[in-house]
Amino acid sequence: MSLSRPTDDALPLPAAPEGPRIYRVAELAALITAAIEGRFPDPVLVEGEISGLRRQPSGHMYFSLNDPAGTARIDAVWFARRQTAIAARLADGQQVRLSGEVGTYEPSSRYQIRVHDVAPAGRGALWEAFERLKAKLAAEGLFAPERKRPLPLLPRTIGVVTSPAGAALRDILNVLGRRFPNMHIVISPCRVQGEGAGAEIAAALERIGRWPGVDLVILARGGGSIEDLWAFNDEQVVRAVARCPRPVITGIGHETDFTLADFAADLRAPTPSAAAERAVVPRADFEDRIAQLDRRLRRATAHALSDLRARLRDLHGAYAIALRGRLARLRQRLDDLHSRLRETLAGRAARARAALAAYPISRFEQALRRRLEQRREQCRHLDARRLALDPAAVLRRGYTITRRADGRLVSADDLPAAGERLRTQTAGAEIDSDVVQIRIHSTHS
Amino acid sequence: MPTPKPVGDLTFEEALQRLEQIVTRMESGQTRLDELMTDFEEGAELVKLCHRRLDEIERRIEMLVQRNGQDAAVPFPPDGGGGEAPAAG
Repeated sequence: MSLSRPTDDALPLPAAPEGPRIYRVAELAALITAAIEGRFPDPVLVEGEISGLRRQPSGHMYFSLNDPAGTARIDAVWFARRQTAIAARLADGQQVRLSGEVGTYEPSSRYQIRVHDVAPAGRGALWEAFERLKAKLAAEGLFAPERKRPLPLLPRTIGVVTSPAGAALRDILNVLGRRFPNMHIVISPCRVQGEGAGAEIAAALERIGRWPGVDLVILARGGGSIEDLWAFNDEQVVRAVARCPRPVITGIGHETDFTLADFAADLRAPTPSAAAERAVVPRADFEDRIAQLDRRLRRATAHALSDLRARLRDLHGAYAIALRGRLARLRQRLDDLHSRLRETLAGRAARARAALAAYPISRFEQALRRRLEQRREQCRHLDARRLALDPAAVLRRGYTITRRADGRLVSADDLPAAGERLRTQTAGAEIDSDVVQIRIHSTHS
Repeated sequence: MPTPKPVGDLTFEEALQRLEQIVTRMESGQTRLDELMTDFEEGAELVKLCHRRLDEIERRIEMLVQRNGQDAAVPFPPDGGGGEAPAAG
């Protein structure tokens, strides 16, 4: 920016032959103002860092613009009526580029910039872009809590997207190796800073998301300046994180660094090591839990078994008591019957013995023989009658018995039909015959 | 109780959950004798399965590389060394 030296005739500083001219303060101040104002491009553009920002009740805003080297400072005022939307977001420490006019403030003889507009500059511009993209992606729902997926309890394979040369990878491998020595890890390598890093990170995420068996992805980068981490604010990276078919844990930079990739991740861990810790539970913890469940299983089984056994014992006891009661009653009854029987028998025997003692032996014998002979005679007589009634005896006398197929006897009341098969029994043989004809002779009932 | 998958097909997480369920039910003390034996057997099988799922993860560190336009996994670090110095990317 060129500044033309004021020409002598432009300044009302006439030579005073009668001695040096003495100005009033206001005169000189006005001269200075005239010397400065209008001598710079309008508007003038200047970049620097804001400090000492204050907003007056009037709405006017005052601050200083500082040179990055810290060697110069210019005051600035932004009048309320000229302020634009960004005014509300200005804060100390921001790098801004402002447009305005250089002027003076005569009451205190200070020069200042009267601000027309302010735009973020340097880091400020980055943040402005960051905020804009963040708002846009948030409006699309990419950061919505309901999008966050649960992490698998035990990933079979963990994908790691990071630089293969970085400290982040070393930290992650250390932590995973310590927690789960036999973990399967697949690294999807990419550059994590510099021109084009965003596209590389996004591509690496795509590749690992497709890789078979990967259940969980860690996206990581070690600490660095905010510019170093800037690739993780790249829209492609944020979208690739949101699109990844597997849950993503981010561990980018330090505790205080938040990138847009962090917002889109299913879980944001403060550092790469922390991301690895969140990725898998230590194997020993799993083993403890399983061992504990195993113990509980055995204890519960033993308990239930002894319960059942006790119940069985109780039932058995009740049954035995019932049975013993019944047995005792039976035994008692038996005893009872037994003694009554004994008494009866003893009584009868005694009476018989007394009768016997009263009888002369020979008479007793004779009477016994006679009774025996009578009984024998009775038997013979009965046997003869039995023989006369025996069908076999009837057959032996030449008669036959004829039965129908179902065993019924053929009789006048129950005649067979023609063609029916009959069985005739004789004393020595059985004859089967078919009925040819039936002739009925007479009626005898 | 619906068990759509046979025990051997369960993931670690499913197996652990199922085991928790069984143990909790058994501890509630409302198990019949026939259930008790099947529960115990299934629980013991699940314990074994959980251990197997932990063991069967293969200790391997690999890196994806492009090979004829296709992704391929190669051991990491590429020289198969001590794992101390990661390869330059």
